[in-house]
Amino acid sequence: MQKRLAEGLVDDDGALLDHGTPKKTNVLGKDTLGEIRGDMEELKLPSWFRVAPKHPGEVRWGKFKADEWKSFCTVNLPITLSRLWGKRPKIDRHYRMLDNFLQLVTAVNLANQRRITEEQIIRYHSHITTYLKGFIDLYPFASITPYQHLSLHFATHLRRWGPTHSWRCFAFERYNGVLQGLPTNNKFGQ
Amino acid sequence: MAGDLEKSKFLRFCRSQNLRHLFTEAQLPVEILPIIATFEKRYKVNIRGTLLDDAGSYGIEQRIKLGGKHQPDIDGSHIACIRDYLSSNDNNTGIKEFIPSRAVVLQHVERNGRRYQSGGNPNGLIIFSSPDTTPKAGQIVLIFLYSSHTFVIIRPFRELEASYRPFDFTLGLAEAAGYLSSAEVESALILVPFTKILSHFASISVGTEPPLLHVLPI
Repeated sequence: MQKRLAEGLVDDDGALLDHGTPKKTNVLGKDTLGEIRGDMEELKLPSWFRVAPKHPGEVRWGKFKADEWKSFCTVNLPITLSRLWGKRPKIDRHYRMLDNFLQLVTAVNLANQRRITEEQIIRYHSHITTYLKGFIDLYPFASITPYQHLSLHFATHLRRWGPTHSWRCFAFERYNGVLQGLPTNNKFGQ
Repeated sequence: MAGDLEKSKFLRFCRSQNLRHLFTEAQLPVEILPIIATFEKRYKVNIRGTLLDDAGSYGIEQRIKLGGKHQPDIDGSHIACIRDYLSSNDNNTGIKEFIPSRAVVLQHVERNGRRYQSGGNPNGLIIFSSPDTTPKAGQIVLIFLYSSHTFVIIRPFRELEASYRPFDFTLGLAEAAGYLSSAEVESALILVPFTKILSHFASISVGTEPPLLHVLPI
């Protein structure tokens, strides 16, 4: 809050000031994406693992599915980014971005456990809080999205309902996919 | 017709369970052994992605958590004998001939929708827990069924020597970024119950001098 106030991003009440639409900046960039693609070809993965599309960031390869995002963010990015940025000095911006991102990956991995304990829930909350604090610090012009806000309530849900696989919406999403695939042109067999 | 289907299913279920129990008997005649693999194949149920699959995974993890309370007796005479053999033979040639005659060698095992395989296949690259060390990476050499329990012979990867620690760029966040391991394997093999396998891992070679492997458990 203090940092945002000092940088003129928010007013005294904490409301974001309108500076127009900020210019989009690339976090990864072409070179890094090239390294990621190179590593994807070398990476050894078990056959059951849902691999992410080989050309991330290219429009013609379409959108990622949820499972592909998970693979890309929890396996491909940590492997390549830790190799590229993990050796830099701790004050380097890219090192801090990597450290911040790995907090998110740890939180996601913990939230996806098939068994969950109170200790893991506490760790999840600690990592997601650290991630979001670091996010505000590293990317001051970015806003916290509703999903990022909701992730702070996720520990409560884990305590109430247990591991996510029994109440998450993947099954419903799958049915949405099935319904979207049904022909609606009123022509039998086409 | 009403009721016949249930009756038929019930009888078949009982028959398969009786046979499964019979096959675990220690005094089973050797002539029956070839049937077991066929039986397991015929009655194997694909429960991937179902509630039953989730329930099964709870059971497996629970047994791991109990610290071996329900673990198979790996100190049985045959198994202890294999362990002796593995610890006393560095090259471990002819291991297949050394396992008990009543054991059934399996080409692969599926658990919770994940396929574990012997050989150099990525499905054989696993993280396992060992009684004397922290979880470590290894390659599956052989999987076999013995006395209704599944055992795995693993060739572990060498620990990274302390002098190579500066190469480690994973920030100490092994849970998210993985860790560096030597790309070379130990000469000695380890025998563990299948329940000691924790997960597969993704891997990529990150250097040739020394040969290093970036290991990320998945």
